[in-house]
Amino acid sequence: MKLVLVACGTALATSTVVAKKIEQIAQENGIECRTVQAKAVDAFKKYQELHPDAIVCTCQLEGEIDIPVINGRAFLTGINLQSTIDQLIEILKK
Amino acid sequence: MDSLIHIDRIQVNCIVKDQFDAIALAARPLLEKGFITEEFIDAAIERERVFPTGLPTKIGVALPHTEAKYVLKESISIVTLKNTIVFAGMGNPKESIPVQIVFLLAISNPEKQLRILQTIITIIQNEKMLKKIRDAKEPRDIHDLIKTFL
Repeated sequence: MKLVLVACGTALATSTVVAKKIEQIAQENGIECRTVQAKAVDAFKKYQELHPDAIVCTCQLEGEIDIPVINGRAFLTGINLQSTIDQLIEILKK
Repeated sequence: MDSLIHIDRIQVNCIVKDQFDAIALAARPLLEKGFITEEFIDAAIERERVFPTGLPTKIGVALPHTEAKYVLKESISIVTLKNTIVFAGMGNPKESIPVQIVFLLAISNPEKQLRILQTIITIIQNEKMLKKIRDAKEPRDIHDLIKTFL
């Protein structure tokens, strides 16, 4: 089971929509994946606690992170969406 | 129609001086109806400073919001701007994004409101729809446009 940490400023609106999209994309590609949402201020702590496979965020993150971090804005705007999806799938298929 | 969006909470062709003024304007009908606390406005403005919400779509959109504790009754307020106003970019505060449509989200239970949030995202990804919203002359026009997507 893969784990994606989804972070935004308040873990309220954008991260919920982005998390659902990620789950849907994973399912369509036959990847078992769950998402956990975090507020930007808690994201680094959650990263250390949960050891996710990737972080998708719609905010800037602080702290040293040594896993892939994907800008989740494409899931909202649709701009460069396919390349963002491809990037995510590649990480999750590893 | 999803009760979160109502013609009373749609303002068209507005003139504001900056992005914070746009947030305050969008919040006004929600405050008048008692849907948000007075602190909501300052909290949303402060959040916008730290975690901006501008999106670089063809017609720029911003999605200001703040923490659930300031929301008394969930609702969404829509403001279209006569002139573009610069918001900073979501995930990239140094980016300047000219915005003409503001969706102020007063949401406390995103799982429950997922459908309306997804509808707004679908609209944001639809350039023709954004143009129609921007060019709408009456709140009812925007209400009816969004209704077709729900």
